[in-house]
Amino acid sequence: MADKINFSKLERLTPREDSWTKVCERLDAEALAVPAKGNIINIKAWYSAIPLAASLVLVCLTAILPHITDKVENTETVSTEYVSINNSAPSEVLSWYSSLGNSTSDEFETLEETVGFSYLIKE
Amino acid sequence: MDEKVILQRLKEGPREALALLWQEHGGHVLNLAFRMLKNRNDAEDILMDVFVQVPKAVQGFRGDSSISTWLYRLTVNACLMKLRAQKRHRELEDEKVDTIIEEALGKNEAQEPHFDTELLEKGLAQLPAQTRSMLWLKDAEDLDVNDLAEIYGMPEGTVKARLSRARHLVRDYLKERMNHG
Repeated sequence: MADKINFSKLERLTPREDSWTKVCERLDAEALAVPAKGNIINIKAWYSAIPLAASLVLVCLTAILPHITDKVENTETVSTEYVSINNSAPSEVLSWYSSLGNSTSDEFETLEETVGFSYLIKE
Repeated sequence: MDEKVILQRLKEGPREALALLWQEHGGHVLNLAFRMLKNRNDAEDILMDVFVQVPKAVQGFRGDSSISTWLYRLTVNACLMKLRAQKRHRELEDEKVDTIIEEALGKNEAQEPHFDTELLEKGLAQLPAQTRSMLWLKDAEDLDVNDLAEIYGMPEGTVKARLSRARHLVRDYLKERMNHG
């Protein structure tokens, strides 16, 4: 290329004589510093074992869980008490409740506000 | 020896293959590091660091590019890491350039008037380290733009633009100084 910068006059360096020896020494030192492969715990080898174990646990849990929940349901039986509205509500509420759906008018059949409130407060 | 054979031998691990690589490319790596760091000792350190890491790094090298391109990439990365570590992104001051020339050329030669080389060194010092090394690889080592794109991890267009800008900057600097001189 014509517009190149001319670097030909710049001195080219050559590596120092002892540099290669130093490289060899460092490589030897590194080789010695690396412990034997047998002493290293190979975590990478576990990479496939971990998901396998997790899947196995999940399958076991899916098989066992229904039995456990059944047992829990059997031991903890909850009794439900039904309270009739006839025993607790005042007569205004009862008559309003029984008349619901019987009227022919299109308007909503609403319970008078004060009666409703007093019933709620009482409850 | 064929590059593929060298690569295969390097992967197998014998020291002879590394020695061969050292003989072939050691000087190029050193000069590239020197262009980036502008310090002979630091450049020697980088040269040694690069060759110490070659036996490990070569295991991940698939041979898509040439060995020299790969070595240059290792060198550029090592230099950038050193520059970051030393927080020396700012370019060295003008007076340090004299020391660099002295170290590079030897004291006796530096005392003689080498205005061209001295000015060129100063002109190059105006550039950021990465661009300076890019210009060196292109104009002194004759690397292709696509090799440079691979080494620096940027598109070819960006490399061309940077090279062009760098050449203009150096030339303008040289012209200005020569007119003043």
